[in-house]
Amino acid sequence: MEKKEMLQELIQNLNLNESMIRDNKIEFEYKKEKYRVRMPKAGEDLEVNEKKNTLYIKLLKDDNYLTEEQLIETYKKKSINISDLNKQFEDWAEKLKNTQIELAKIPDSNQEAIENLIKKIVDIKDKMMEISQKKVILLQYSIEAKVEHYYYLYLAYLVTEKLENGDWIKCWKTYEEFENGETELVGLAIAWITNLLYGVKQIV
Amino acid sequence: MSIETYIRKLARTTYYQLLYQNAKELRLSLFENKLNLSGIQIIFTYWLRTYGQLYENITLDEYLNIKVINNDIRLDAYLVLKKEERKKEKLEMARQKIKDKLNKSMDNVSETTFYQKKV
Repeated sequence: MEKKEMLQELIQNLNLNESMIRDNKIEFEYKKEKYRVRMPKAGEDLEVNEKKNTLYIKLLKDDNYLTEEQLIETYKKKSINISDLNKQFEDWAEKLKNTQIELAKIPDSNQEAIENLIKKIVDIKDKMMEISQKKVILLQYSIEAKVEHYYYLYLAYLVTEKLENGDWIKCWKTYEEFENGETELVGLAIAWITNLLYGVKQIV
Repeated sequence: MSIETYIRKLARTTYYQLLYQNAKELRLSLFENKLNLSGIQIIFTYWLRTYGQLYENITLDEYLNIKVINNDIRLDAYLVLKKEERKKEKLEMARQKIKDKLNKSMDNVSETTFYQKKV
């Protein structure tokens, strides 16, 4: 299973609970041990952004990597058009809006029409999601996507803590230790960070 | 259940609605942290406010009722409709403003012409 797929599966199966909103930390369990992710402090925000910028410049100087724009151009030469995907997405978004307006005006007494339109909306949203995922897969090899992915990895390393003898301590002492950490634990930490930052930033 | 569905379900509960409505007066804090709100907390606050406003308007709008509020797809549809209505209203107001301005300047022109003729 691809790492991204594993992450999506983890996000879907997370145990959502009320404590997630009580403060800006989320606790979770892994192999009977307690862990938590928390919102980054200002200094950590700076650190992770600096790391991100350094990687961006490094990859930009490397001829083996392409920016999103260059990748889109390369795809075009292979007859894969990202702008077609964007156009398809916009067309579905317009259909979605019109269907929603139609649904909003249906009275409760017309249950059949309501159910049909709800089904139509779900189908349209699925189509839009399919297009988005296609685009994400195609662009995952761009410098921007790689840098964004690294941002979340580094963030997971910085803000994941483990409960030991009643104290919350940093889960991984170094980034190298994090990189060699258990894949599932790393995946869980990233999945919870995605939820913690939900709406502010999303990775998958 | 997606996180958005979960947050919305939580935000429309009587408990959180009451807490949100009385938080200021009773000096209650919605969250343990006052600063550095997480993404979930920001989204949750948005839905608390939105549901609060919807509950207030429930008797004023023909398209709004408790069944709509409790169904995310139907509620999204309702919110899109309202957004479109507001957009149309704004456009109409802007059109009316231009029309009024044009009428005013036309009045000025005819007034000037009248005085010029008189002189």
